[in-house]
Amino acid sequence: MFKTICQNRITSAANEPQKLLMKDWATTTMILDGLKTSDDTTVWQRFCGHFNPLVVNFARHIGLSAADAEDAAQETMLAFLKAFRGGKYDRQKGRLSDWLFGIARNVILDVRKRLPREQLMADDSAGTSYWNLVEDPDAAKFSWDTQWRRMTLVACLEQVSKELDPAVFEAFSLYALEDKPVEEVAVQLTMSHNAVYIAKSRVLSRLRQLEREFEGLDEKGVV
Amino acid sequence: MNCPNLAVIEQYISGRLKTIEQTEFEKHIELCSVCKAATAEAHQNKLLLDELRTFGSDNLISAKQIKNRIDTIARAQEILGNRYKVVQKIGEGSSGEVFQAVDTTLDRPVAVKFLQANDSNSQAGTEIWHEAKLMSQFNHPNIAHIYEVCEAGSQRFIVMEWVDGRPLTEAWKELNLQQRLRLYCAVLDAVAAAHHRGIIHRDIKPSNILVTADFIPKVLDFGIAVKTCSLGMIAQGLYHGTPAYSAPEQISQPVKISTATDVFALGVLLYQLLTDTLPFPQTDPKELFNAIRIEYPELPSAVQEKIPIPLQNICLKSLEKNPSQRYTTAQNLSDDVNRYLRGEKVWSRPSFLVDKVQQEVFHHRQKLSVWHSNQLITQKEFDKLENIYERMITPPDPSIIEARQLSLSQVCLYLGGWIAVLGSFVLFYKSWEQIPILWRPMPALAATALMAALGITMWKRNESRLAVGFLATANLLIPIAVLLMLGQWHILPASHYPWGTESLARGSTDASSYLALGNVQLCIASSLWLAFSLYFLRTTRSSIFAIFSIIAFLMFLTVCYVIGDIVNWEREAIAAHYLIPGIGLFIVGIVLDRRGYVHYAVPLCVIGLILVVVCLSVLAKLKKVLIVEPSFLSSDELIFLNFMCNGVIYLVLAGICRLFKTRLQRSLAQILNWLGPIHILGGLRVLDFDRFTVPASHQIVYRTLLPIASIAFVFGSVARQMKSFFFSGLGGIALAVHKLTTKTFEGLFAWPVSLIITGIIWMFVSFLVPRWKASVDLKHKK
Repeated sequence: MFKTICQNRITSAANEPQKLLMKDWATTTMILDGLKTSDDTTVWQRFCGHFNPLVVNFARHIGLSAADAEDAAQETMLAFLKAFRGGKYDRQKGRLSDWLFGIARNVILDVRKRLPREQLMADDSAGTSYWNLVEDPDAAKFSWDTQWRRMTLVACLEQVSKELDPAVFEAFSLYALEDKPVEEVAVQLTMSHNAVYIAKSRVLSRLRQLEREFEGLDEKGVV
Repeated sequence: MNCPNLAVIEQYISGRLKTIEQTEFEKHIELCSVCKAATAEAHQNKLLLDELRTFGSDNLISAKQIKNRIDTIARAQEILGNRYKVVQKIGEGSSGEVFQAVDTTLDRPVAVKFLQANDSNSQAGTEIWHEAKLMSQFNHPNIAHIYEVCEAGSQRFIVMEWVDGRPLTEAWKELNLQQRLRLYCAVLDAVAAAHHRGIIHRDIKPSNILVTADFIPKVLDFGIAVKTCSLGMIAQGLYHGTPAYSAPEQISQPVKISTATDVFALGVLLYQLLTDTLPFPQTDPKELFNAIRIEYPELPSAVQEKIPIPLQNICLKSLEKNPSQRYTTAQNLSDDVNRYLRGEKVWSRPSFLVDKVQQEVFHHRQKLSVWHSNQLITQKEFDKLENIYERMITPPDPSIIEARQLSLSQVCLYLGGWIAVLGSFVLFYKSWEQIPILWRPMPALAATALMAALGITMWKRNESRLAVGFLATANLLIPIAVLLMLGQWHILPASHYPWGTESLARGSTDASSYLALGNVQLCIASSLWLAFSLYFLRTTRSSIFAIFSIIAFLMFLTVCYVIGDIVNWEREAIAAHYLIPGIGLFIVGIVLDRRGYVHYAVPLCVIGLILVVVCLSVLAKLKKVLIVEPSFLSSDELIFLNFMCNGVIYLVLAGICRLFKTRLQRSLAQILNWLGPIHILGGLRVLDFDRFTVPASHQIVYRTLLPIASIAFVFGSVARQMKSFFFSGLGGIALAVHKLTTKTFEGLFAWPVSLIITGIIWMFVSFLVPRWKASVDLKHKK
């Protein structure tokens, strides 16, 4: 029964990850604490919202089809919850990212083994290395870390955009991210040049703050 | 300075402030804690922004979902129809899914790549589509051929050659360096051929270069790979593998792709070829992207022993951060690798090694100035070291260095050129009655045309070293061939022109065996020679043509003087007419030197100086240097006084040269410093000769003057550390002693004894001088 609830939530979380983040700001510390102490389903939703898309992308990268990747992600989430509640994760010993990576990789390799050979996308049996998906053993970790970092930044950017005046965020986005000249941005948003510089500085400073908060760096060292 | 606003802080962080503003800003933040904190914050913000930019704004603000993927065989078969039978899915490329299929009509295996539907309308998608079409018309044995580009509804797909092979890095594991290089060169040829047609690969990596069982490398995915690899794309699963082959311009926004982008990836491959490791082995994405953008790879020779340094340099030049410092196309890279394989010298200098050298040299030069001002090193040592450092920082063109080396090839080139010139000269020198007139100048004309054509071809092919050799030979042949042609074919002969009757080239003894040439012919030949020399000088910028130009100019000048009937072959007139051009050349040389064109200044100054010295000597012989001619002096005395006067002129010239303070001028000053005392003391010594008509009373004066002048030069050397004065003075003293021994103190034993005692006294004085100087200094201080 628990699995069904999870499954529903995971699916919804996978479809609308951004919306979940919009609801409330939650750092990894807050989520992990919530998971440990209560059966509150919103915490679990948040957790899945953050990490499910990440595992799905990763599974697809390793060579699973979309449906299999979804399955693998669900299994990973459950395996994580079980291990976490069993007290196997010690935050002092390693990053949450590394621990989750270990679980995800094992689950995905397990799923791969179970699948019939013809379903695998990256089958090398043809004797060619055309777009060989797992050519580099480091590539998997590389992809995982990049996705983790992007997830963090996306979450924090979303939060900043909620907190600040939309015009300020727009100014930042046009000037800093899209590299438009300050004059053009100032005219477009009818603000002074200095206001554009201030907008950029404010967004980035807040983003740095949120980033540290999100990863729990200010509280307990690395997450 | 008031507190700067955010715009200024931002400019400071991004290094866009001018040096003065930057210094002011730095001074301000040292004092103002608020601004210091703001600057530190801005710096941190910039680092974060750089990272955000590597993800790409699209991927952060609105993560695009990947839709309409063709991820099943059935879906692919549906689109492909009956002609192609899908066998299996073999992977997801950077820009779409790839299937193995069989072309049922031609019965051959093919690879089919579907372009992503959302890419089809985008600019990148259109570009890929366009390049795929271009590539389909292009056949290269080392590039997987694109058979067809098709469109089924809104779905586009590309049908290409199926290659069964191993990735390049796998294939060369069992090969040695030479064999690896041969494979690598084949890849370079393939990429160069595509570059020639304006097609860029964008994603060269070992898995895109497969080596078949017959060891033929095939480059896949040409022109149809994605344009860029951002962290955002990796995060979304759009890019596979590590982006270790991406060039710096590919991973930063905005992306600017060129053929040099492929050269970077080829550089990474070459690094792997040499060391079996990646130049940027970082696995953390952030670190890797940073490394590609900022860091320099470890030297291949530090990773693996016995790596040929030329190959290392080629590799590092391909891995330059700035695309403009890399080889611009794969062809240029291939040329250098092939040069290495042929055993020729490779001159590529990676900028970061050059930068390192320049930094070191910069510090050394600063130290040099300090050492020099503290007199730890002499002016001469300073000049020598400066010269060496300057050459290290701005080395001449590699072809010039090569041309100056007497390598076997170079010696053969010069020898051949010289023999050809001598051969043409024999044609000119002897009469050839048995040969028809029309054919007489033909060998020289043909040789000139051939040499010029070869030289120009070589120059166009960037073989500067050979080109200069051929052009120099052609340049020397031009006046000979033109004179032969005009002389033998009787074009513009002397008899037709009243002012052209005087011929410079007519032999005086056996006129019939020489080619009689008119001055008009000489004038045409010399002016043509001058024109071609100047043209080659302008094109090749080789200093040999500067020398040719000067000689041609002097020849032209001479002919003009003859035609204008200015010179009657009197020494006085020649001296006057060549002294002025000589001074002119010298001044032009000085001006060029001041403007930094040292290579052209050297021949001008040297030839100018030679002309000046020769003319002044001729004038001195004619007693024309000194304006006044005192009646109490004999004719010989006047000549030698004129020579002494020349000596003084040289010393004055040396002083003027020293004023300019460039190295060339200092060298010229040194030469003049030798000429000055030699002329003055030599004149004094010669005046005492018995065979000249110098009155006895005057001889006593000269005999006294010689030792005094010599000693004056010896002590004069102290002031400016001039060895020329010192040694000339010593020589002068020896001459004076000889004169006094033979004339004044002949047979007097006291004379040598007194000389020895004087010597000993001077040596003791050398002990006392420093103490005496110290005590004088002390008194001054008190």
